[in-house]
Amino acid sequence: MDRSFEPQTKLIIIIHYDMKFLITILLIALLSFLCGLYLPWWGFALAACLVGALIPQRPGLSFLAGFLALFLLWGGLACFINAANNSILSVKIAQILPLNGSPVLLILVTGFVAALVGGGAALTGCYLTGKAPLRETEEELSLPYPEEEPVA
Amino acid sequence: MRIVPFGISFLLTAGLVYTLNMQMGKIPPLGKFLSPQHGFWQNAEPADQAFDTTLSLPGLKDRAEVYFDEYLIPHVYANSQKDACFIQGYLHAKFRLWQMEFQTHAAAGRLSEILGPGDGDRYIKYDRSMRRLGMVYGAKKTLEEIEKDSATKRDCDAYTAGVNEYIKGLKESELPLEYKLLNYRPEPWTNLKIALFIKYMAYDLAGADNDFELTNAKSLFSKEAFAKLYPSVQDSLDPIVPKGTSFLPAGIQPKIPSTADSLYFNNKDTVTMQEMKPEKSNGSNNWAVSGKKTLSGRPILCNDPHLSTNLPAIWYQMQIRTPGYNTYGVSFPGAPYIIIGFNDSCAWGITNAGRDVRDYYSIKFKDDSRQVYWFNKDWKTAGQWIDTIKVRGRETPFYDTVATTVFGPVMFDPTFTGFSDVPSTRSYAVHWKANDPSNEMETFSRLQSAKNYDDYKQALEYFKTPGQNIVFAAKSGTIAIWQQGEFPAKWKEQGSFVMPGEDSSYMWQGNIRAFENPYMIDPERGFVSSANQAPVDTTYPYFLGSDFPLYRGLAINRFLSHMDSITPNDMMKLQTENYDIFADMAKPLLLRNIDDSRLSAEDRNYLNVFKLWKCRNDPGEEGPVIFSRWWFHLQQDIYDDEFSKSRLPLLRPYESTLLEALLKDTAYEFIDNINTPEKETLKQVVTTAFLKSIPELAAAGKEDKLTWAKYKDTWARHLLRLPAFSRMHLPIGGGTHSINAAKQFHGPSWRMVVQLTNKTEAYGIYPGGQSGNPGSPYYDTFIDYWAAGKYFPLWVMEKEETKDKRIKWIVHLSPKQNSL
Repeated sequence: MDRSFEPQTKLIIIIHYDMKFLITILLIALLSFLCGLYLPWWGFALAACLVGALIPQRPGLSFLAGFLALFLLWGGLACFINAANNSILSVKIAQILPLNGSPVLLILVTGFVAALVGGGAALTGCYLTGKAPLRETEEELSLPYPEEEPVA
Repeated sequence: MRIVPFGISFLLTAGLVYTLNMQMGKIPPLGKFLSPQHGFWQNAEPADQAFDTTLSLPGLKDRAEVYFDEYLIPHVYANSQKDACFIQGYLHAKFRLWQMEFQTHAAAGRLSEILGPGDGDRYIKYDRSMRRLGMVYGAKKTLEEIEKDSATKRDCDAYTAGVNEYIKGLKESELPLEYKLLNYRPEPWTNLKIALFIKYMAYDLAGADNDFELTNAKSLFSKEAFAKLYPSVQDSLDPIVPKGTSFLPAGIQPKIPSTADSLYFNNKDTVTMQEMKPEKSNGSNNWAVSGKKTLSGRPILCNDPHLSTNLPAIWYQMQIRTPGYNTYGVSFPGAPYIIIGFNDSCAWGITNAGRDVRDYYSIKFKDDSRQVYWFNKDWKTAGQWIDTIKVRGRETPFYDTVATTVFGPVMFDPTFTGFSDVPSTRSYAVHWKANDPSNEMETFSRLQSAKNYDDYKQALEYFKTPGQNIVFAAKSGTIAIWQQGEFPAKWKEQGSFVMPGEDSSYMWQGNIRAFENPYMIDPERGFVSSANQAPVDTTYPYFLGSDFPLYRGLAINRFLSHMDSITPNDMMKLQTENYDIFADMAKPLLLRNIDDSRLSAEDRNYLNVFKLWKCRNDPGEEGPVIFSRWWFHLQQDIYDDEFSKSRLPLLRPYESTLLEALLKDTAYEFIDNINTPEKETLKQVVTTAFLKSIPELAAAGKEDKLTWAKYKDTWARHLLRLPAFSRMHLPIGGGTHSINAAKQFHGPSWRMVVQLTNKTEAYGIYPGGQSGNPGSPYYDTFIDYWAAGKYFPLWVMEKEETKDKRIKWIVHLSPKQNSL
């Protein structure tokens, strides 16, 4: 099989591929935010799992999408709230937890905790619907980044 | 589906969620806690938060408005007292819910339910102490009285409905921060909780006694020595009602039991139990000056109650206007009405009377079941209740079986020795005045709308415990003070020690009639005042107990008698006065008795600083630190040899006792160290005490803590004692014996100055902020100003000022019809 593409085609594939990854992230983040309005704090795990199941990706990327989505969502929300609050509360909480009174660390920890759960949930969703590694999938996914030189 | 990886990742994720949803030791469930949409971030209030809203609430009778000013102080406009109470409940809950519930949980002996057993089960001990003392039992009796009166019942019902209306609309994300941190939820508010709050204050202000300590001292020391350690007369006392006032003959003359000498005064039994005690220095200042001493020609009333400087603060400031009254002041989150404040006609303020209204009786039970006890030459059946104390983190609750006697509940017995580890076979029942029925709420309901002295006087009649000195001033010119409360008429030294509980002759025999309580109206000297000193001299026909601080009262009266053309500004200066009259009286004594030949050059440097000190406890002074260490070592040196002989709970003599003794008698018998063959002199011990403080002073100097404010280290401390939620190291002077009585965790909890001119001119400040939320910019609004001795004008908003620029937010309230 000929695996070489024209550079233009290659670019389209990269964009297409990255768009899918990006959309996964955005979708997880958006659904997670909505879940946060109506469900307990762990509601976003359902969202991440659902999106992970519906948008097939390589497991590693699925995890990464869930991880980044939640890191950005919780970290971002925390950052936004913190700015409006002039760090009045984060400084205090970061002494209790204890994070050396650092709002930045507290925001990172906030994002990281959600990110771990989000990643895990997306991965779980991915495995729920994902098929065992098929050549086709493998091929499609590895296209933009061939790991080894094709055998002639 | 890929079964194996799915299974693994599902389990790992679920496990992670489960872990993050769990409380681990003191760490709250992290997932829930950190969630920006549920957890603590939701309590991070935007700095420009708008509080405007329109609320439609069932339980309101009419439309109402709440105008919030720039400090988040609400100015409530309601059409009835009932609606005002409803709104007050709603506002207290909105800004102070956690604190209200926490304090009433503490009062009800339910701390372990929230905080767990504590180190060495100390929260369980706290809870048992509260319940055995009868806090819940007393609150229920108070509730009955409140509900017997249609007005206070209506108001408390409305207040409770207001609190619950707020709780009902509370989403998980809106829970006050402390609930999230401790991971629990508020329960519905009840009228009983209002009564519990009143008991919480009663415990704080009338829950102190030294019965066990003095009982032990009586068995340890000779009669003569005891009289010198705990004298019943204070030489420099300037009582609330001046010396020389004549009193009515006693309406009730309590009879000393015939067995008093053998069974009471000469009884050598000791007590190992250790009581839980409220903050010892709960005190306060208040005074009113008449128009003839003021520049305006109108009275000025001042009050600063000294309580624990907690965060959220014990007070919540507000104005309440109804067609019946227009009142401004501070309220207790947890109870309706304004407690200290003023209206369009008059002003009032309170200080603690500090009379001993808690006594112990030694009970002889037949056996360990404690069901039958010996009383009046017969076996009498004891009552019994079983307390169920839920303990967080433990499967089974703690059950506490409490026997009750004719005197009251059995506070201590072999199953509960309080905070002592020493086992005991004895049992002691407690009789506490706060367990008698009363309705203190009625007093504040009536004060809110009081128009003149008669209204004030009538309002006072309902106030029984904790006894208070209630000062009053009216626009008409009247000034007055009453020591108000229902006090047992005691024979001399009744209840100073544990009393025999085997017959009725040791019981309280009746109450002093209210009109015999000490009071003053429009005195010639032009002012009335109180600062927790003894209310009267020894010509008063009743026994009062002997634990009364002397010095603030002395200083206030001296200042006031020399002042004229007084302005509100002068009064603010007086309230924040750091002059220490105790130090001023002790200083010459110390300097007379220092042996210069024993001092090194470095020692003399410290001595010079002390010599030059003007006895003002200002924040930057080193003098007060030197004095405080010196006096500490002096009293240790003098009393340690006698007191360290025993491990029983004992009370060291008061500072005033030692000072007055040394001023009278340089050969005070306790100066001699009984463990040495030589006879020490005053000069020796004064010099030794000074030398002992030098290394401490040097160490303090190295840590930059040699100046008074840094050494004393005043905090506004969060109720959970979390440093992160507290304001630490406040640069404030004063201290125990200064009028500005700011100590480490305790001090002037609300400073108020009210000039009763046609248009009232009032100033006030408290160490806190209107919001109880540590994430709000309004959490500590007033603290720095308070520490600096500054005041805010108290703005009584008029109807035509609704457009004033000081109003930042408006809440419109309207009744919600249940049928739609």
